[in-house]
Amino acid sequence: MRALSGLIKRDLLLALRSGGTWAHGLVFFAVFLALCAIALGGETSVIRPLAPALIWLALVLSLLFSFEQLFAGDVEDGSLEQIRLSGLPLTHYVSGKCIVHWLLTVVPLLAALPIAGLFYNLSMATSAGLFFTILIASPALIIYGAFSGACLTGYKGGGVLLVLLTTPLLIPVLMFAIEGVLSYEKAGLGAMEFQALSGLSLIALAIGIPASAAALGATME
Amino acid sequence: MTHSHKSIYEQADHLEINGLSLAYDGKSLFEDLNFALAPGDTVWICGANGIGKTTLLKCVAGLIRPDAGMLTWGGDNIKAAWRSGITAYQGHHDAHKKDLSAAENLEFWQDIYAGEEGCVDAALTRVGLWARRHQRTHTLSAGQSRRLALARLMLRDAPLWVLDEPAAPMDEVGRALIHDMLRAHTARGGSLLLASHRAPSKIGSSTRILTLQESRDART
Amino acid sequence: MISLLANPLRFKKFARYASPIFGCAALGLIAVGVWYALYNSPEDKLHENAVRILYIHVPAALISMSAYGAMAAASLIAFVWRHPLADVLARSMALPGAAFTVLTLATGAIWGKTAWGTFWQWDGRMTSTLILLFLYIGYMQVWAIIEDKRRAARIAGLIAMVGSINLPVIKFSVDWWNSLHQGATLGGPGFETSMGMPLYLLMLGYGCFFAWLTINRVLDSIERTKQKRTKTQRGASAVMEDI
Repeated sequence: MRALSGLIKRDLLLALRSGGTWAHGLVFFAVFLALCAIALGGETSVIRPLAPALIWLALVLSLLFSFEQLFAGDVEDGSLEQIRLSGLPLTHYVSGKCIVHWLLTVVPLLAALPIAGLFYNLSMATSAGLFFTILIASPALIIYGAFSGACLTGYKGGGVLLVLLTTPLLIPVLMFAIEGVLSYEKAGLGAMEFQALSGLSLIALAIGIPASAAALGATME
Repeated sequence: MTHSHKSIYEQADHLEINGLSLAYDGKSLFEDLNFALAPGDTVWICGANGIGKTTLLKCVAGLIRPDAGMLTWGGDNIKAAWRSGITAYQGHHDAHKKDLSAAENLEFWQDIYAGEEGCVDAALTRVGLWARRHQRTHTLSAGQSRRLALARLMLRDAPLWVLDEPAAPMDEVGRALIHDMLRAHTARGGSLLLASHRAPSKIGSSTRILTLQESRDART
Repeated sequence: MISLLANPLRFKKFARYASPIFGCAALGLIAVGVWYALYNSPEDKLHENAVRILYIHVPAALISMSAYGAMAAASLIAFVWRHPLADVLARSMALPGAAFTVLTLATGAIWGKTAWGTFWQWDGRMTSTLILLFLYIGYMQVWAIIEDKRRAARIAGLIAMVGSINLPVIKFSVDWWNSLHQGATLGGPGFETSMGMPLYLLMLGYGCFFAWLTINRVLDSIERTKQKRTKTQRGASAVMEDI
């Protein structure tokens, strides 16, 4: 536990001192949504029904580009080697990194949702639906991205391949999430989409974290 | 060689290497390597550049998987011992985070190793970096950075030290410091496996040299 | 049987009789199946002769999915037991599997053109198959991009395993999504019992063909590894002495 909290503390401190690079995802999110609105002609009647899909697309895309660097720092400077030697299980390490990544990417995006709602003229129900689908699906998003990041650590040009590897795993999440936003209005959190999303996140937790640990282990051998 | 003195390292034990073989890219780096380390022993690994010293050290530390061979710690498979952190390894990377201070880096490792309070201060003082403890590590020189890495060795009770050219970036004062640390380690009953370009010197009561060489015969 | 085949020499002996058996079986089954498909089975009421493309499409779809499962199983064996040939086997199945997936998509598109008027529809099957193709390409790319092949094997194996666990999830999600948006009427062609025979023959035939391809690719791989190994130039020795 102490090791885990130490890792989280360190990474948060590093993010703080990194000069704002942690916020890049947020910037992409905003830019993408603005581009969508402009490309679609800016008419509310056109954009509003598409909003859940567009916002989810913005979320997935902005996350996908953040995983390349997730483990790169620790692998390159030898920290991961030392962590492995300390006897700390790599699954704990991966969990810690995922928690930090969640705090630095998902939480700011959730905080930015009201503004997105403003720009897209979203109803309260839609905004709430977006909030809950993102919250419940976020473990799956983070963990599958982390898995691809772990597999491709250190390989230049791995960025596009990372997108290719992660996308098939995220398509079910995308499908249930967007439907879930719409269902939230009628059925609240009891809608079956939320159960499906919880299931997907649980599966990701169960297989994604050990798989990521194994990939990191293979990377160092 | 047997030593009857008691080690202050709780987990100190005999390291045995049997039949270690590794080939990389069609070239055999070492074949059927056998040797043993008792508590307090030192073995220097010597040889030309690229001969496989680093790879051998990494195998013993558990970072690289050999093609064949068995490593035991106290007679049991070493894997369990690795997991409980018996090995302290220093390679070419110092593993410091540039944006953290010297003290902050060590405090992180103290958290990872579950060390006691005050270890960080003692370690910093021992390697002569107490004055620079609040300095960001990217401002440290190569020698100072390596000292900080060696300070990390003192944060835990690892009985097996595997060091790959530890004195490479150091000046004379630094080299003297390392020698002190290595002597203290073996005197306490720790085992030491080192690679170095420089002429090996005697450390502790039992010091041996393992030289890796290319053999002349070509295989068909 | 698995440990029997672990030895490359034994695999080669196995392949010496297995390969021609699979090859001939493939030829025979596919030939008979095609004959049945073209001459001996009824036309679909709605789509007449065009339905015959399904005889190529459906077996191809089955093989493309089974191949991925086989790849994942081989990867699991390689991962857990460090079985040397299992890695080679998994890698050898990737390209044939991907090829069958492309065949599925192409024949599906042709069927779609005759049945619905468009080459592509985002229905359950086509979308799932496209995602499967992405999974295959990702797997093959990982082998290509990582230079240390020992490392590449383990990472590609992990990707195959994680991907295969997600395959049923993906299928289920896509079918559900499809039923919401497209309605179920778009996809299914009608099947009559007399359509069954050519389908089963062709499924078996494709399976044999896939096995034949895989065995030969594994053989190729073994040959190449042997050649690399015979180039070993340097032995090594070590000498221990006291100070």
